Formats: sequence, structure tokens, C-alpha cells
Amino acid sequence: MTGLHSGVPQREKWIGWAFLIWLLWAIGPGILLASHPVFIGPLPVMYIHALASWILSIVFCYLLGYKMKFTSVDDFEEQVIKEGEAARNG
Amino acid sequence: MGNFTLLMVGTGIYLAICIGIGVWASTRKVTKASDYFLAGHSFGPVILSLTMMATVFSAWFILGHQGTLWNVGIPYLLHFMHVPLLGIFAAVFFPRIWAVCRKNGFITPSEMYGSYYDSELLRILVIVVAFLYAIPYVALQLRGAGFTFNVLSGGAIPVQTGSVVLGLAVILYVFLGGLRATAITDTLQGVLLLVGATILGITTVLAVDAVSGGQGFWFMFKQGIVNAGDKYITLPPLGKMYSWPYILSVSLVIVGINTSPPYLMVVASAKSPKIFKFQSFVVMCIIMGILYYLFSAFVGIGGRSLMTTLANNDALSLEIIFKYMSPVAFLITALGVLAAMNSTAAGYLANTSTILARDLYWRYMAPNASPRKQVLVGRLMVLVIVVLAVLFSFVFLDLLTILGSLATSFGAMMFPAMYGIAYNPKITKEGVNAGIIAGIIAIILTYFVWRYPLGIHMGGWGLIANGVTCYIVSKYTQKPSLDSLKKSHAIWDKSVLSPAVQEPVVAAVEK
Repeated sequence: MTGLHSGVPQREKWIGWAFLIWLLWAIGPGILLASHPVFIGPLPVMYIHALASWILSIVFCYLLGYKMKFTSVDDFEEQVIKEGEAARNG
Repeated sequence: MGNFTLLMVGTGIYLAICIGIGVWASTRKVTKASDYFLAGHSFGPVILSLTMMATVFSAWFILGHQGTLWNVGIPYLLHFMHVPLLGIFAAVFFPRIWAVCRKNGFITPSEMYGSYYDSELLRILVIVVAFLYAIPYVALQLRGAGFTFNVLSGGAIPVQTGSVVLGLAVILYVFLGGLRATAITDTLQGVLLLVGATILGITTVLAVDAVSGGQGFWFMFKQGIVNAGDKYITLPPLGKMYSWPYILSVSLVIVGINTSPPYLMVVASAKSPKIFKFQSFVVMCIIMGILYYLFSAFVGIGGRSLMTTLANNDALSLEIIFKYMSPVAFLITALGVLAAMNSTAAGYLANTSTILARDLYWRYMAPNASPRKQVLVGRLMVLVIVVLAVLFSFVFLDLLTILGSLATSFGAMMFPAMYGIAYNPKITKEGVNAGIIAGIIAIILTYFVWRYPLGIHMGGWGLIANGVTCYIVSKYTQKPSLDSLKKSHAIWDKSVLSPAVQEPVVAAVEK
């Protein structure tokens, strides 16, 4: 396979791994802490973990939105709109 | 002026502004169906992002989650991961869905799925899913509004009356102005609900600080255990509701908001796919993240320090508004809560009515109907949906959280079909159709017959049944034609259109 229509293009394969890491981080310690609650001072570690999951997802979403290359969509934007207008009118 | 009078006057002005925007939008010229249904593809980043945020941020999000957090305890925070998940999903899928819709002139998801998979059955199934999603979701908003009026008026306004009042206002402005009116009101309401949710969170923190005798807001974390016992810090055992498989499955199922046909329609109305970068990163991950992980968490957890008993979990946010706010904060926050429900109901009403008008009436009943007639039927459909939603909200009296997750379970059934269009051309129409049917049956069985087997949410069972069926059936059925590939995958990989590449691509896909 050239990566052409194999699902996710080569450049974006890291998304799957990044998503898996994020998901495991978000779920794993959460489940563990929900069974064995721990506090650091007045704060439950469960809440600190939830905040950390959120911050990690901000980083991940930044990479997705601003670093992942949707080459075709950006490059074809005008052409796509023109073809769409033609399809609607014709 | 007392709180009741303030609420009445403020709500009157607020609903009058919404209806006025509907009247203004109705004066805009409609020459093509997309002018009314998609507002002429005119939405920029601010309007689109706030519209999408306001549509997501509903009664469930401003009343239901806080109440459930109050009831279940701190481990329910695990569930909040659905918020960034919605943003991540939008960043990955929406630009491609936008491109498919714009290139082919699709207005509704049913047109997109039906055309790509070349399946009439799928068009019908999309309408069924849209309907199953929209009715409970709109009902949830109307009940939430009724509940809000009831609690904030000190019981003077019955729940049903409040639901009908909001229902009538939404009918009026969506009926008149279509998606344009909905988007403009949603933008204003988006700002209002942001302010309201922020005031609600800050008020809770200040109230907790006050009752703790100045120990600081972190007092609430341990005070929750004092007030509710150890269950406040540990999840229920496996197999029970709110055990971790339940929370995990329902968190994933909430992505059904993004895949639901009524929500997906807004994607096509964007000016450019670049907007989704802003929408997913800034709005969904950062702004919604702050609202959830900070303010909603403070309300849910802090609420335990303020109230040890509640007649209904969903009343928590409203009780805090009612008991702990100054008149001005009370008014702004109350309107913010109503805005959350109003905007969600309007968004789904506008889009579901379009789906029914275009995909049911225009396609199967009156193929020669003019754009004007399509719009007229779309408007009538608004009435039909609201009436059904009001009836549903009177009959189906489960908690807001349950009602919302039932709707999103149905919405999530479109995930394999969307994945096939955006990323995986090996998914076939037979696979998608069989998957949706299997998923809907699984949801109904695991909710109405055998509720939450193994502690997994009905939407989780729906996704499992849908995914497995779709995978197996797709493996043994005809892959999408080259014509179909041109409608989607070729857009971001133009080389597929060259003769030299066509054959290997078809071969690879058919393999």
C-alpha cells in the first residue's frame, strides 16, 4: 500500500498512537485512583489527574489542529467550492 | 424588584430578542434552498464556533453533569474526558466532512451518506437516527427549561408551563429565520452561557469558602467525604451504574453529538475548513475545558459542602443560583442556563427539520418542489418536532443525564459511516446499514429490556454491536465504487483521479 487509500495517510499515522497514549492516560490512572483514593494535602489525586488529562488533551488538540497537515483540503479549498457550486447549480 | 419579577422581565426581554432576530432573518432573500438551510455557507470562525459550542452546551451540560457529580462523587470527573474528546474528534473528521459536502453540494448528512454509499436504505436510516437523536435531545432541553423556571421561581411556575414557553419561543424564531437566525441567536447565547457558567462556578467557590469559615475552596474536597461518606471518593463496584465501564462507555458515546446528523449539518455551513482548527482547539479544548474541569467541577464537588440533600440531582446548579446569588448575578446566570437549553433546542430543531424536509419530503414525496416549498415544509417540520419533544418530555421522566446519553447513543451509530467516508474506503454500504440496525437494536435492548449489562452503558453496547457487524459485513461485500471514491477520498488525494493511479487504487480497495 502506498498510503493513498489505506485509511489514514502516512503523515498522520502518529495520530493513532497519540490518541492511544492520551486515552490510556485519561482512563488508566483514573480507574486505579477511583478504587484507591489518595490525597495530596487537601486535593484528591483524582482531581489532579483529571486536570492533567485535560492539559494533555490541549497539547494533543493543538498538534491535530495546527501541526497535522490536511494538505489536500487546504490546497483544494477553492476548487472544492467551485465544484460544489457547479454540482448544486447543475 | 424581587427575583421572581427579575426572572420574568429578563426572560421576556431575552426571548423577545431571539424572536426579533428570527423576524429579521426571515426578511433575507432566499433564492436557493441552501440560503435558508445552510445560511449560504457564510459562517466564519466566531459564529460557527460559538454556534457549535452553544449547541453542545445544553441542559445536560449545565445542570445534569454537576448534579451527577454531586451525587456520584469525585470519580465522576473521569467522565469529563468526553469534552476534549469532542474537540479531538472535530479536528480529525470535520475538515474532511466539510470538503465532501462542499465539493458535492450536499446540504444534509443523508445526502452525503446516501450518495457516497449509493444506498437508499442508508438515507432512510440517517433520517431515523436523526429523529431518534433529536426528539430526546430537544425534550431534554425543554424539560430542563421547565425545571429551571420551576426552581428559580420558587415553585410558582409548573415544569410543564416552563417547557411550553421555551418551546413556543424556539418554534417562532427557528420557524422564521432557519439556520441563520439559529446561528446568530446561538452566538449571543454562547456568550451569555459562558458568562453564566463562570458566575455559577465562582459563586460556588465563594459560598464554599464562606461556609468553611475561610479555610479556602479546597475545603470542599474533604468536606464531600464528611457529608456523603466514602462513596464520594470511590466508584461503585463493577456491574453497577456509574462503575468505571459505565463512565468510560458513556464518555466515548458522547462523541455521538459530533456524528449525529443534526449536528453534522452545521459543518457544511462553514466558510472554510480552517475554522475547525479554532473550533476544536480554542473552543472545545480550552474554553469548554475551563468550564468543565474548573467551574462545573467546583459546582458539583462544592455543592456537597453546601447541600447534603437534594430532591433531584439536576436541581443543584439552580439551587445555588437561587440561594447564593445577588439579584444581578441571579438574572445573568439564570439567562445563561436558559440560553444553554434554548440554543441547543434551536440548533437541533433547525437541522432536523431540514433533514426531514430535504430527505423525506423533497426526495420521496415531492421531487419537483421549489426551494420555497422546501423551506415551507422545513418550517412545518419545526412544529412537528417540538410537539413530539414536548410530549416526550412529559412522558419520559428520567434524569437529564440519562435522557442525554440515550440521545447521543443513537447519534453515535453514524460513526462507522463517517469513518468510511473520511478515512476508510473499505467500509461498505451493506456493512454500514447492517451496523446501524444492529446498533439501534442493541441500544433499545440494553436500555429497555436488560439495562446496562456488565455495567456498560447502552450506547457502548450499541457501538460494539454496530462496529463488529459493520466490520464483518464490510469484509465480505462489494467495496465503494470509483465514483464514490471521487466524491470523498479523491478530494484530499487528487492523484487518485489520474488514470495511472485509478487501477491500483481500485485494486487495493477491492483487495
